[in-house]
Order: sequence, then C-alpha cells, then structure tokens
Amino acid sequence: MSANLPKRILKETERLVADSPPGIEAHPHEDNLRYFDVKIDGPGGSAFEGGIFKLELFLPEDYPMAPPKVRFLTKIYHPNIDKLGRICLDILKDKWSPALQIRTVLLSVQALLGAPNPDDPLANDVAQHYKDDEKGAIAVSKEWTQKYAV
Amino acid sequence: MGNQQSSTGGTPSSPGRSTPGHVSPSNQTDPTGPSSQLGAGSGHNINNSSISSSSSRPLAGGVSSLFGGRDRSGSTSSTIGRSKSNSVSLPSPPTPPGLIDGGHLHPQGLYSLRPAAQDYSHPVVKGLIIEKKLAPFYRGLEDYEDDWTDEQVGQGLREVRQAQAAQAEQEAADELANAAGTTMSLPTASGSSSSSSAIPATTTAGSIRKGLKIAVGGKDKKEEKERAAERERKETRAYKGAVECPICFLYYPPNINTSRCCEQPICTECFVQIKRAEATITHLESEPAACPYCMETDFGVIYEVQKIARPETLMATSPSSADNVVDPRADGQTPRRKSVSSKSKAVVTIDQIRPDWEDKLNAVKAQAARRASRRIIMHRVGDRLIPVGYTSSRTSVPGTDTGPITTEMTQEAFQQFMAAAAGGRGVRSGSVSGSPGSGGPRRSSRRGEREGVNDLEEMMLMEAMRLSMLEHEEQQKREAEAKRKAEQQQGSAGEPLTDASGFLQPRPASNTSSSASSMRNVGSVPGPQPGPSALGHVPHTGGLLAQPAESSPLSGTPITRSEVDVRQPQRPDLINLDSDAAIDPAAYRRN
Repeated sequence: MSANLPKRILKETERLVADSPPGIEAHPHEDNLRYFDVKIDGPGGSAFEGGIFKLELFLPEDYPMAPPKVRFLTKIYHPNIDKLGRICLDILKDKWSPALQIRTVLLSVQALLGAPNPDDPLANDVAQHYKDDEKGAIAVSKEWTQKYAV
Repeated sequence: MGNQQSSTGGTPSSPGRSTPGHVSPSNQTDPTGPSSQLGAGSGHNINNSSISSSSSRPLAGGVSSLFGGRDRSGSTSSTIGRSKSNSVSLPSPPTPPGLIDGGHLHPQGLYSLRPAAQDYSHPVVKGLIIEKKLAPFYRGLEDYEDDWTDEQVGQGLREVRQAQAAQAEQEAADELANAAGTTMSLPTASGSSSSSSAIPATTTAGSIRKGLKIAVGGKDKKEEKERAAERERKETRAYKGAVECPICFLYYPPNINTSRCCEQPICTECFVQIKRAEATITHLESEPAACPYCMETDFGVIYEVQKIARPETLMATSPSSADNVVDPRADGQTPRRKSVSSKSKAVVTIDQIRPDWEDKLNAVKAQAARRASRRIIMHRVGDRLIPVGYTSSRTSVPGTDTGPITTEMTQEAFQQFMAAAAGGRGVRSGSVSGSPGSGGPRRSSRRGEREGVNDLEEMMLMEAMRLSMLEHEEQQKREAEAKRKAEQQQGSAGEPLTDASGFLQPRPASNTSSSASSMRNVGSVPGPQPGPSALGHVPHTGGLLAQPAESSPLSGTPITRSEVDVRQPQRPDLINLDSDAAIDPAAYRRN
C-alpha cells in the first residue's frame, strides 16, 4: 500500500512535519502513512483557547482528488462539530479542491474553532444553545475545553 | 522509431508519410522490439494529413520530425550524429518514441492506470494533445532546481522511468490477475521483455486497438541507440525552467497547461482527473467542476506551447506561421493573462474530455427513478407479513413517470409458488405471472427490457419470499396441529378466537389444513385497496396499513395488505448516513 503512496503525500508530509503552522501538529502513523494524528491548539480569544484538541485525519485512496477525512477525537462543545467529532466544513465536502492540502485543511479547522457558525449547524442542540444564549453556550464550551482538552 | 521510418519508406524528406510514428501510444516500447503500433485511425484527427500539414514547418522536416516534428518549440534539432552513449547502457527503460513537445499522449502513472481511474475520453484527450490544445502528459520530476544541468534533469527522468516501469509491472500483474485476456491484444506485448511491455495495455487499448502494426525486420541497432539518445535529449530539454504542479507536487516543463481563469499551472495528468461530482442516487445533480485554485466555475485550461524554453540557436523557429492554436500570449509577453472565457476555443474544459457526463447523469437519474418506485407488497396474515409481489416503474425519466406497475401473484401463481416451496425447489422468477391488473404480456415485455442485474435482484427477492413462505407454512401447520388437538380435547368446534392484537389465531380446521387454500385467500385480495399507482408514492403511514380483507372468510383473522419499503437494505448506496465525516479506524488500518 505505502509503496503506491503518491509523491504528493510524501512531499506534503515532509513539508508539514518540517514546517508546521503555528498551533498545529500532524504526524503520520508509521504503519499507515495515510493516517495522521493531529493536534490543534484552540485559537486565542475563543472559547477553546488553552485547549489542545486531538483529531484524526485520513487521506483516502483518491486523495487529493477527494478530501481528507477529519474528525475530532477530543470532546468539544461547538455548533459545527457533533458528538462523534464530525466536522461541518464545506471544504471537507463539496467545496473540496485538490489544490488544498492537509495544512490548509487543518488551518481551516482551527479557524472554525475561532468562528462557530450556529446557522449551519451539525450539532443542533449546541447550535440552538449558541443562538438562544450565546454567553451561556460559550461558557459551556470553555468548561468542556477545560474538562477534556487541557 | 527507426522501424517506422524504414517500413513506411518515410525518408527524412517525406515527413507526411512518416509522421504517424509520432503518435505511437506505447511509451514503453522496447527499441529493439520488432513491432510498434500507431494511434492512427481512432477517429480523432490523428491522421497523416493533419500531422503532416503542421510538421511541414520550416526546420521541422528530417528525422527530427519522427521524434515530434510538430514541436515548433525548437527542439527539432537534427543532430542525429551525436549520441549519449550512457543513455542506452542504463538499466532504465528507454525514452519512448513519439514525444510531443517532450511529452506523451497518455498518462504516466501518476494516478492509477486502471481504466476506472482514467475515465476520461482517451481519443478526445489524444486529439487535443496532438492539436496542441492540451499539454502532453509529461513525466513529473520529483525535484528540480533552476540551476540543474541537463544531465541532472536527465538523471531525474531516468529515475522516474524506472519507477514507472516498476509500477507498471505491478499494475500489469494485478491487471492480469483480474482481467486476463481483455486488454492484452496489443502487439508489443508479445515481442518485448516483461519490463518494457509493462505499461498496462488498458491505458491505451481503447483507442488504439485498431492501430497499425508495423513489423520491421533487421534494423540498425546503432541507429536505434542514437535515436533513443536524441529522444532523451529532447525530453530533457523541455524541462528547462520546470514548474511545480500544485496538485501533484511534481515538476513539469514550464509550458504545461494553465487554468483559464487564474493562470495557475496544472499538469495534464491532474487535469484529466478533475471532473464533475458524480451524481448519486441521493444527489441527482452534477455540478460542473470549479477551478481548484480560485473556485471559478466551469474549470478549463489553456496550453501555451511556446513557453517551452529553447536553445538560442533555434529561436528562429518560433511560430509565426498560421496555426489553429489560439495563443493569447503570442504577441508580447504580458505578465499576466486575463481570465479567458470557458467558451473560448483555446480553452479545454473538463466536460470536453468527458463528453459522456450527461449520459451518466441521466443513467443515475433513471436508476433512482426505478428504485424509488419499487417496493415489495406485503400481505399481512395474522401476525405474519407475506411478500406477494413488488411494484416497479417501467419508465425511467422522472418527469414522464406513468406510475409504477404492480406485480402481484395471481392465485394460480401463488399456488405454484407454494407448491414449489413445499417441494423445496427454488422458485424461478418466471413462475410469477402478471397480476390481472398489469397483464401478463405487459409484464413479460417489461422483463425483456430489464437488465441482468435486475433479474438477479428479482430472483433474490423471490428466494427470500420463498423462504418466508416456507416458514409461514410451517407455522401454520404447527398451529393447525395445536388447534386440532385443542378441539379434540374440548370436543367443540368453537368460534375462532382472535386475540385483539392479532397475534394468535386459532382457525377452523377447514381453513388451516391446507396452507395453499389459505394462501389463495391472501392471493385473491384484489388490487383496489391502495391503488397500485399510489403504492410507490404515498408516504408511509406508520409502515403498516391495516385493512380488513373483504374477501376473507376468516372474518376474525385480519388479513391486511401493507407495503413495506425494503429498498434493498444491504445496498450501501441507498443508506444515506452522512457518514463521510465519520472515520472508521479499522478501515484505515487496513491500509
């Protein structure tokens, strides 16, 4: 399998490990170079500040023509991330472009933490909470960050 | 290549006859191999006249025309005499004949060479490359620095070639295991060594099956070496000032395609992979692909061949003669091109190389329409649901749907069915005749239209029904037995006791002694209840529509007719779980 690993994946991994964006870490598994352990720092000023969120990222067979699959492993209270850790982000679905990379995807996920969008929810209850009582919802997000991501 | 020359009698002064050699599709052809084949005749402008007309440019004649005489970039060097001796002694496969601007007519294995992964129209792409509207398929260099010498580039290309051969061999082996005999009809496969014939025939087979075969006996080996060296030089030269394709991260000659909108480079191998999102049963639309760089819709590219760096001495060959290639940069090197409309002649769009996209979309729509209107009709007998047929739409286009046809078993069919079940034989789907409503002939004509897949589905369905029947029959026998015993003990015939919930139904012996007779009642439930046309479309109200059966003599036994949506639950494409984001670690680790 890894014998057929496209050069792009190797190069991307090399560059990512050598020069990762601030607050983002991604390391491939030794036995499966398409599977990455990811850590993203909660952006400063957000309810997730101070938290370090673990994610998993997988590059499917037809990557980069198909988007990587990304999922939060750390519990998080966010209107666009459901309780299974699935992420509602357009570039991970229909807005994927093969010119995007692991790096840009993870930066987008990090940006999503800084800008929750309750109008396009994945976790309906959280989104409703954010809409009805933003302060209260942010407090819960902070609480969860302290509880699960520190 | 030398073979073509001698066999066609194409001397350097007759480029028109010899040029078909350029389009030889087999990039791994052993130079010592006795035969080659041409891509001509695939019906896409690959013909002598179109090629010779453009190759009769100044300086384009001579032997060099054999190696890509259409290359007006100046690489039409005529230095046959010089030869790099080291190039041939290397273990790597040779540079193939038929380079166009130093590139090839078919993919170089960046993506899988399996036909499924190369689903664009090969003849169209070949035609576009020959017309110079699309960059040829280049081998991507893993690395490149601007100060690299030709020697370094050459070394890089040789490494790529070696890796290609290995990969191709691997894929060819896989291919053989899977689909022996379907694609190995290419003439090169026989005469050449395993490594040189390793590019799977499938990559080109579709369009070049009919290609000419030119067999040549005894040729000058030295001449061949020189030609191989020349080809290699030519290929190497194209990479001067190489650029990185932002999608595959490999380096290509600077003249590769650029997006029409934002002028970003993209190699042809990546370009042909970009396509409309395919429609699925749950998403019956196919949006045009957007530019991967700027997301502009209707992605298209422009090939500007003259960007190729060329030796100063050959600048004179720069293209001024009439050419059908529209070239937005021909006059003056503007720093940045304006966005070019997707309708422009110079632009190649992703729909152009997949002319069948609309047919595919319609096929999916048709499939969805068929499935949507297909449900199994169940009859409820007491607590049991008995499948007795299914609805199916014979029309495929949603707009013209004339409503589903109900296929139900008639009494006779049902009896046959039960008899078959009792005998333990498999029930052939043919034993089900049309219901009175739909009519036998109609049904059989519809059967004719169906594909084998559907027949298989049908048979599986019937088998499931048969098993269900068997079980039902057994249960009825048991019940009848219990009832008889109870009656004997009580000594009275008693009224049929019907549990309010419809669970246990003791029945008069006359009705339960023969399951076939009770079945007949079921089968005779006439169609008018939920009309067949409504079955496919009415939203389910709780799943089971309990309705008393007017024709049943067992007034106490609820025989209900209901429909159960069985939409083949084992088909993953029908289960819309929106699970794309969910990651199954087990699946990943399989890799």
